[in-house]
Amino acid sequence: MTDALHNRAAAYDDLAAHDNSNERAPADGGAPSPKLVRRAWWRHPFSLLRRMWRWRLLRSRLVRLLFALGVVAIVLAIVAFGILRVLGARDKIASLTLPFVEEFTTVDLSKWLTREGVWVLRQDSLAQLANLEKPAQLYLPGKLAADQPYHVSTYVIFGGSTRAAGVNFNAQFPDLTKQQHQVRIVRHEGAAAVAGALPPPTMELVAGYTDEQGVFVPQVAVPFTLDTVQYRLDVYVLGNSFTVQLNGQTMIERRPLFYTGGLVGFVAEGPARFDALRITTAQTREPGEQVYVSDFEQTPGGAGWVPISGEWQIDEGELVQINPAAQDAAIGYEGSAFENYVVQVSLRHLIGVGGGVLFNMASPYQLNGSYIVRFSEQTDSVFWGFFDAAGMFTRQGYFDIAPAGVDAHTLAVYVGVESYDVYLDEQLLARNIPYQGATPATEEGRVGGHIGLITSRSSVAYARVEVFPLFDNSQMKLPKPQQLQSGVAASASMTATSAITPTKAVAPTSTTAAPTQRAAPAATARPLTPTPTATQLRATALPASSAALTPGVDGWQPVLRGDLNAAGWRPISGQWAFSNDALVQSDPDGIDLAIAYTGAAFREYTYSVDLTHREGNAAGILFNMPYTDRINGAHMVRYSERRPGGIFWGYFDNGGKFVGQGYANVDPPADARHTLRVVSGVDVYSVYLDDFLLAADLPLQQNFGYVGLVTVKSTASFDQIKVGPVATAARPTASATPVAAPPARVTPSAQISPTSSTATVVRTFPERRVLSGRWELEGDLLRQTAPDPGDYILNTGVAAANYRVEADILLPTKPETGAGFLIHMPERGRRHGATIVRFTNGGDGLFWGVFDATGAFVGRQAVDIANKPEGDNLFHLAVDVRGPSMDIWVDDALIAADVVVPRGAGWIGLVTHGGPVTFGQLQISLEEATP
Amino acid sequence: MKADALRIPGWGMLVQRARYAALRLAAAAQRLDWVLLPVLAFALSRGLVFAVGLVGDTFFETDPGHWVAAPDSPFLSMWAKWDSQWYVQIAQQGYFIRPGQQSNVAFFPLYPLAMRIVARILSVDVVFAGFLVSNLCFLGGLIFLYKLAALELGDRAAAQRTIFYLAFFPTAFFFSAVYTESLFLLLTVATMYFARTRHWLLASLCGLLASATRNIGVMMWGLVMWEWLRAGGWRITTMHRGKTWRNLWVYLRRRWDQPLIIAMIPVGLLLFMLFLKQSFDRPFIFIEIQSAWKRENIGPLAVLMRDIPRIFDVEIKRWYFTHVFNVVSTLLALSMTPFIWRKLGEGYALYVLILILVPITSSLGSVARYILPLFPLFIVLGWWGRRAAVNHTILSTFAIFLGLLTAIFVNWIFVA
Repeated sequence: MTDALHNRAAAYDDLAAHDNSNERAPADGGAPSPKLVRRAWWRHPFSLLRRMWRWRLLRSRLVRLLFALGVVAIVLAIVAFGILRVLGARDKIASLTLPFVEEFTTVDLSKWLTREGVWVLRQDSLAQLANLEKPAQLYLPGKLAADQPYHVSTYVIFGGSTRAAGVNFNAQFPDLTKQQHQVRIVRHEGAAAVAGALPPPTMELVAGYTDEQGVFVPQVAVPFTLDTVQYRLDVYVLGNSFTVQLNGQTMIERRPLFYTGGLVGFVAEGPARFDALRITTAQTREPGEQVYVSDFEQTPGGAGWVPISGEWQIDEGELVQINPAAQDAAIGYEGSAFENYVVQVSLRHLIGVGGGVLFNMASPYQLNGSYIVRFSEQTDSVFWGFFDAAGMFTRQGYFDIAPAGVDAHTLAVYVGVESYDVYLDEQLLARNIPYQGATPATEEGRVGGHIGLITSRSSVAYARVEVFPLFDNSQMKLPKPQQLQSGVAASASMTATSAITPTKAVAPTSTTAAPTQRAAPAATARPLTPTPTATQLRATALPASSAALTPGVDGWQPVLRGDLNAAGWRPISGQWAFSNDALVQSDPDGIDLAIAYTGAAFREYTYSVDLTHREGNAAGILFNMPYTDRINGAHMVRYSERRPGGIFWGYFDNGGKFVGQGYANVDPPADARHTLRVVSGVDVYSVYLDDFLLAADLPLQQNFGYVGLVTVKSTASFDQIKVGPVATAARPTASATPVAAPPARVTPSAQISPTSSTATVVRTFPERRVLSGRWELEGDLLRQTAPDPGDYILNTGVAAANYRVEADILLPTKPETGAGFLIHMPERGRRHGATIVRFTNGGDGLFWGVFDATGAFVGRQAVDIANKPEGDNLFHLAVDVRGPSMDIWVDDALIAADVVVPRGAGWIGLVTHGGPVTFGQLQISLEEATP
Repeated sequence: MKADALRIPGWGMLVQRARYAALRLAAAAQRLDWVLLPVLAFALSRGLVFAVGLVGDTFFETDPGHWVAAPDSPFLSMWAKWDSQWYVQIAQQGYFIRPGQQSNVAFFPLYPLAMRIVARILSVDVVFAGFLVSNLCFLGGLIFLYKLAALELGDRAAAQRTIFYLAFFPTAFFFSAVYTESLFLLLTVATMYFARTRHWLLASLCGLLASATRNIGVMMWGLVMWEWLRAGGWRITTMHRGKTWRNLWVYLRRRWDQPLIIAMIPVGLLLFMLFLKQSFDRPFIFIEIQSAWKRENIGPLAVLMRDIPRIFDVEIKRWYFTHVFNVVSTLLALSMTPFIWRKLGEGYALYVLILILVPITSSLGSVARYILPLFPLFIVLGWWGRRAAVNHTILSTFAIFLGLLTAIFVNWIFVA
């Protein structure tokens, strides 16, 4: 058509010919001469400008240049405005999610923001190596919101040439060093003391900020003479002020903030090291597992406190022992044991004097094996000592004080590894008191213990109990305490305490009035009972309509859909409903929200439930419930709402009061799926979490009854509720150490070549268990679809010692995704102790390492995978495992041979980091032994 | 019969008028061919691309877990894949940096800025705005390319073939996707067109905007300056002659303002660097952050020696086909450089060479997309398509592969 138009239009279109000659630039490069030809305006919009060009002024080069520059400037201004205002960075640095914990084992420091200095990882800590004149600073690549109260905690380790080291916070990006707050420990060169004067302080805690020019403006400087090399530094940023603690002591309090929100980092003048950075919300003040704050002011309060004797109650925000006649009335905190900590209580005496604190208790349910510091009810003094295993008390020392009266006092004990210090109202009473007598251990090989409160012949109100971590004070160079003699009070050396309070000299006082050996009151003599003994069964008769069943082989598994009541479930409290084949409790605020299955009662059975927390972390199960409308008399196993990562068990007595029988520290449940299982026998029961035995042979108060579910301040989903016979659910009582014996289908064997024809190939995994993530099975493809960065694990249900596990792994093209295998998992439900082999960075590399006993990853080696064409993210990963060694193959290329595996056998799992990741052609070739 | 028709006054006049109107219409169409033909190329190619995209998205299953740009519009979501996420993120949230990790500071601002402005003006989603900007810019790019090709080749038929080859190139679906290809094509072609027609201010403005669109846009300064030198009689073949330089000096003295205007072209890049300096204190972060994509700069020769032999490792897998395509695209661009030099001049040839060599210093990946803005290549192809057999072969081959790759692209399979 175009050619035809060319031909036909030629006779009509003079303009086309003119266009051709005008559009084409002349070959000699000369500028085309303008022609004044009448043209349609839309074809030559610049014709008007061309006419104007006749004006000589406009033909001036300078004018034309200025005009052009003006036009360019206008365009630039528009673009610049757009870029700066429209596309300007809103969040230059991503927000930091709390809590944040960094142990400096494998962090990639290249992603941190460095401002001077050489920062590396050394000995599992962060080290600044350069000895510079100006401060070396490093910042975490994440910012905190301006209205976010938070708590920064870290350990600062001085080197020989460290001049100062500390923490930056609220640093304003991008200037960082010019607009930030800073707290640092400064070491001054020693100066000669003037005769008669106190020796000049060598250490100083300085807090301040840097202005817009980068000049540091000190706000406060607190000298101290604690001569040590390691410090714990805590900064609390609250509202528009901040508070600083050094080694657990408040040194700087409520100083104004000039900058809010921002980045957190480190500063060092000279080489220094930092360890264990923790940033948490200030309300919780729980950077780790060892910090506790009592909840007496909440309703209900006192969770985790178990009375041992006396009469304890919560009254107007205080825990009060109301019986003034009780001798050694004690209460223990069963929520957690502590080690290397500071326990601080605020108390006031209501009637009499005799309140105190217990620490390093062997058990929260008894005084035996615990240490005590309390006011004396007979003299104006504070004494300390311990109860031995037989309950006999031994006093280690005392200190005369002013009458306690009815004022509030703060009693603190710094509980170290080998000794403890006693403080009263921030005054040091005694230091380095050694542990004697009973071993303050709740587990073999572990120091520390539980805490508690005690009163004697007095009524005392405790407003607050706090536990702070105490850095290893065994390395603190402190003066040795004087040898305790009868009647001689220990001298109080005040040099190491806060400089806020003046030193106080204490004169020895006559102690004839004070007994040298306090006779153990009869009330304290208790037999040693590390665990509650089995008591005689007191079975409660069930309603006549219910008969206790002993489940047969098939057991019982309810269908979780339809009408709740019609299905046999009776809510006792809370909001329960069926949802997606699960039973869901959706009230996030209630305490002991329970539901019972009324269809049948059971005896001698196994009861297992899969639970997934949605909010909170305190769901659990009830069993052997005598009633269907109340939890009185029922046994319970559930996660603790106070200590994420704690599971405890016990029973409710007839009055509905819970009696604890034990607890265990496990991984926080988060939103992962977990299986709680109890095996209720004739007179004892056992507790399992994710097939891992937590406790065995616990005495039953009730050996038959209904089963149910419970939540506390949580919402959770429960499914796979099963009641089965005891025999089929019995599992070997394995400890946390290696799997004792692999399943029957795997025979421990000598090394066999991967191509051995005696291999049994497993391609289906009916016993697989999801530990975390969202796993889907499509044909022979296993796909993990949770996209967020994190480790997602599936246990295949296969355990062996010699095998080859291989799969086609398809990774998404995201930089931080990875996938691989877990080798020799000791426990089916946890990664602790397992060896991991997986791809990293979307397949750019491969690493392997182990998860230690705490679940922390310890890397061994990493390799780069040869660059594959862009878009190709399919890899074939194979691992040949021969007991304690393995070979790693990627795409049929040997990557590593004879890699040592810490264990000899275990479960096999799949692991992804992020998603979606697809495992195809997964197979495990189990090797038989060769004769 | 003819006499009889003429004898009937009404009928004859009607026929005559109809013929005259048809011819006028044809003439008008011929005058407006610089609009109509690009529109035709746009319509036909986009029709194919959209139809195949719909079919591919409907009948083939996409792996789950991918980003969905427009949950309410599967059609729009088809055209926002892979790097589109970055542009959408910039348009919605602005720039940010994550040290050591992939960050959107690697992407230049003009395209997301256009998305944002259009979205604000039309009160639509940024994804739709990006789709709109891409397609409109592609249409504009075709128009300018047609005029430029007609100017360079003096043959409108060749110009028509040029735009059709570009519109049906196997990876031309990127021109409709939320990518910078369309905008960059429009700006670079317009820059060259204005330069060839000696509108230096307009060329400078378009080049400035091109340098704010992609990092290689700053190369337009070199191309425009080369054209200016040519306008002053300077040739690479005669640069050894003193007379050439004397003429150039005379030319410069008379038109000293023009190089200064042309020197504004890199200001687009400088503006972005200024923004990075002001926001992040790192003006070169867009270069530094490239390491987060794990691309190792080993040089074009090493890359070719590494990646070309891989086409002999035949594997029926996704990566193989895209790799073959990238290799073919690279070899096509490199092998046509001498012909571009011969037909269009050294400036165009060097432009193509640089724009191919720069990305392949690390990998041949995505070359099939990088080749799209290399308009001199398509102009020469348009000239080669004079013979009908060649024309039909090229066009049909391109169209077939365009359909295949479009169907692949819309299913989140990486093409380029």
